[in-house]
Amino acid sequence: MSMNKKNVNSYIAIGIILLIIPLILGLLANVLSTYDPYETDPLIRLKSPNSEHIMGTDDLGRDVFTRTLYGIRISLYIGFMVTFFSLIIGVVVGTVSAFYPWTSRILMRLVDGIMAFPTIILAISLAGILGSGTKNIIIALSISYFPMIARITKNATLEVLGMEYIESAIALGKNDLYIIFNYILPNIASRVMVQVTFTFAMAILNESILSFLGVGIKVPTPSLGGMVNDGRNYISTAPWIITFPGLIISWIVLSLNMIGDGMRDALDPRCKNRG
Amino acid sequence: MCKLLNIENLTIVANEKNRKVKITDNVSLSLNSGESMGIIGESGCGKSITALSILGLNNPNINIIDGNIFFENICLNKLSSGNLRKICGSKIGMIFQEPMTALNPVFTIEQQLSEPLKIHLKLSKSAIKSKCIELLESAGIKNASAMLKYYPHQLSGGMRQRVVIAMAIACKPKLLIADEPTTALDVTIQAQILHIIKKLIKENNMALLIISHDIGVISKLSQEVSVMYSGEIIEQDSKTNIIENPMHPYSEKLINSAKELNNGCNHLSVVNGSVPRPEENIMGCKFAARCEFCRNICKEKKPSLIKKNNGNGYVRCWKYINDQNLY
Amino acid sequence: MDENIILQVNNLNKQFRSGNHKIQAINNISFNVKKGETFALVGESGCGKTTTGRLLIKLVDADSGEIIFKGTNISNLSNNKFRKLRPSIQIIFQDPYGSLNPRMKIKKLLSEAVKSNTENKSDINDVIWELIKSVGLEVSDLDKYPHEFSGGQRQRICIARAIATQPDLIICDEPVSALDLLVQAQILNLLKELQKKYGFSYIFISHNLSVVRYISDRVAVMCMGKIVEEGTTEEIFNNPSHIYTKLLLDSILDLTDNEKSEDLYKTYYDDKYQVAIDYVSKSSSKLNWISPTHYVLQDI
Repeated sequence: MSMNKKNVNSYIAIGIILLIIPLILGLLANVLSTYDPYETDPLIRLKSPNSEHIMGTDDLGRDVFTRTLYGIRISLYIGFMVTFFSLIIGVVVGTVSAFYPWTSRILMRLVDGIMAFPTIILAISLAGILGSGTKNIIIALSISYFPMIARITKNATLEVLGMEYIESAIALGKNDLYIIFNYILPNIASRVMVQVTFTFAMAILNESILSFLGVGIKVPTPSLGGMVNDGRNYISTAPWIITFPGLIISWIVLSLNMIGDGMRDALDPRCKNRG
Repeated sequence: MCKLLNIENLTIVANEKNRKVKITDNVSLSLNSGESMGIIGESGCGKSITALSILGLNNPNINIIDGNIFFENICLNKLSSGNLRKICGSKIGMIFQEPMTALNPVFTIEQQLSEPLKIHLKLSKSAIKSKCIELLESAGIKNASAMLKYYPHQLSGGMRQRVVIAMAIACKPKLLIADEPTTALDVTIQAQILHIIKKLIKENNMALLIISHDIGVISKLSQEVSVMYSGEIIEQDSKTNIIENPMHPYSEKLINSAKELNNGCNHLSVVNGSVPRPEENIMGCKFAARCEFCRNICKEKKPSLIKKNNGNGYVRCWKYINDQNLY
Repeated sequence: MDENIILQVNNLNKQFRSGNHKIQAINNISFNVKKGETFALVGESGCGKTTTGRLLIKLVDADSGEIIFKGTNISNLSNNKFRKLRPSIQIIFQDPYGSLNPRMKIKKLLSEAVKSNTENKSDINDVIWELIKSVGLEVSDLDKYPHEFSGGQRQRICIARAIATQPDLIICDEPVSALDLLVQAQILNLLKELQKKYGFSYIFISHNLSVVRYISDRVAVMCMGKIVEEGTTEEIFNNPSHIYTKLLLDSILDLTDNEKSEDLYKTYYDDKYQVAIDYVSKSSSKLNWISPTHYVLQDI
């Protein structure tokens, strides 16, 4: 037996609580820390955590705690923007190709083509072509992630299109746009939202990977992945540089995955019946 | 003589989110070998759940909280699932409503049909094949040997249901349970299937428990009829008595509507309202709110199932408890 | 043309393809429906009765043939032009669980239907209140979602939606097959009552002959995509002339007279069925008129 309904809901609840903590930390970065994330100070290089710098300092003497807070901000911002753009593009491509089957030949071939590449390799090559920087990362990751959402939207839409209530709306003489907005989108929303939470998590993880590989956020802008990359060289002498941003990445991805898992199980009719 | 099947005061409860909902309340049935009993009622009245609980096939969140099911004096609801399965396969056969879901789509008819023969009868390979053909032929399939190689999806609904029937009677069970066996089928096919079931129970001297919402189906196959309403048996009598002289106001309405529709009429008589939801807590008679004979007592106290004065049947209605001399 | 005829179907054909396999779902059928009457299409699953209903409201396009609705040939209208006519032909489906958008409240479900008839100028709330009462539900039900209702109540909502556009023709595709007997009676009476009040016509698609006898004025029996017999309800039920119609009528399960049906079972039922099917597949398209309103498909 899988989890019952109560457990599923507590999954989502715990996930949301876990996510709120880094969210608040990121939003209140300038309140929680008085340091400047860019200010270097050669005198306090590689200091271990102490009362002044609770997470220590990095190789340029910057406060790790402050940089982590600003890094969360950037990571969440990129995650949010990537999710937003892949959601919009994915839902439009998915509904259009399901609703007008002739467009599906072009749109779905494109989607299949993109999905043929492993996402991270595609994101790396796109970021390489476009160059580093926040905007380019958002573009690269959005292109990598919208196909998954498009695919799920299309399948969910096709399922809804087979329902008799769609035919009753057609019989009333409603036009396609009305049907898409009033009939299709509300009925596929829950299924798409599950994918959206996973996309959010994957976008944050992949931004870190891109930054870690040096094709992501430009130095010296603090990003969680970039900080992990910086700390790599000092892993034996100053492990705090890599540990704290690394933990935060796992924390955020874990909480988003918990929300996604909980939502998926709550919406899965098989789990519901067993519940 | 002991009864073949004896259900005593069966009360079944479904565990929903945070409450328990009574699905059947004190249902008692008994069946001698070779007899046939029909349970009729509207969807959600608990008739299928009662039948499925005999075989222990209910969802895990549906539990028997009171009462017992005896089959040849063995208490089925207290058996381990392994022992229950042994009895189910060999002594109780089951026909389901939807033949497609009752058959496994990835196995041929022969593979599915030979399984119970292998497990319960322990026949040899060649004996199994001839037995399969014999079973299919007895279920009214003509080119049975060719049919063995088919997969379920290659057959029509009527043919699939015949295969399900063949599987159900494979081990010559003493009791056959048919849960809405013809609901998913066309009318002309329905007549064929009912005929086959009737022929088979007669030939093999099987007892039959048939569940249906259609009094027409029940009347073709069963001698005894139980009428269920909202989890309770409200009337139990011979088929002729139920059809010609239904005593409970609900049975009366049900039979009359069926008769009116079948015989053609200008205006159907209508019972207003709908069946109470199982979670509604009703003190009195469950039918009271829709009943034209409803009096104060009907709403306050639940009537018990009492023996009819004019025969062997039972009825659950205040009308016959207070004015016994009338009948 | 007869003034009273609101729908005329001439030589309608539809073929479905699956792979290389072709199925003639609708084989050259013709019929007409008069104003205010109930015309029934009866047959077993796969006979093409549901496809016919879908062809009439252009959920599927016909291969050939004419559908003339109130003088306009709608079979070759473009979807855009037909959209304006759509509110005049409504459909009620079998499955009351699948035919209402689960994310809309009843109020929205009804108001969107009322709004599709642009001629309606009266206050929308008044119209909705009248609608919900006329199908036997409460005004307080307007704020509920479809899943809060039972099957019978949902079918009432579907009916309210269908009559909201003030249609001339309502196609009822097995509207009571999924319902319990007593609820069936309620819905059938409601359909009759509303027809008397508003005067629209029904095309009643069903496999249940008893229900058809109760509700319809004229009946067409379909088998394998063809109409094998058509006549008034009395003619079909009292004087069935096609072998397949007779078989269907024999299949009604009788409650009272058991002897007759026992005999019937003894003469092998499945043989009769095969004979009837072979007969239909071989029959020509010639009609044999028994009375001005009653015909059967002729043998070759």
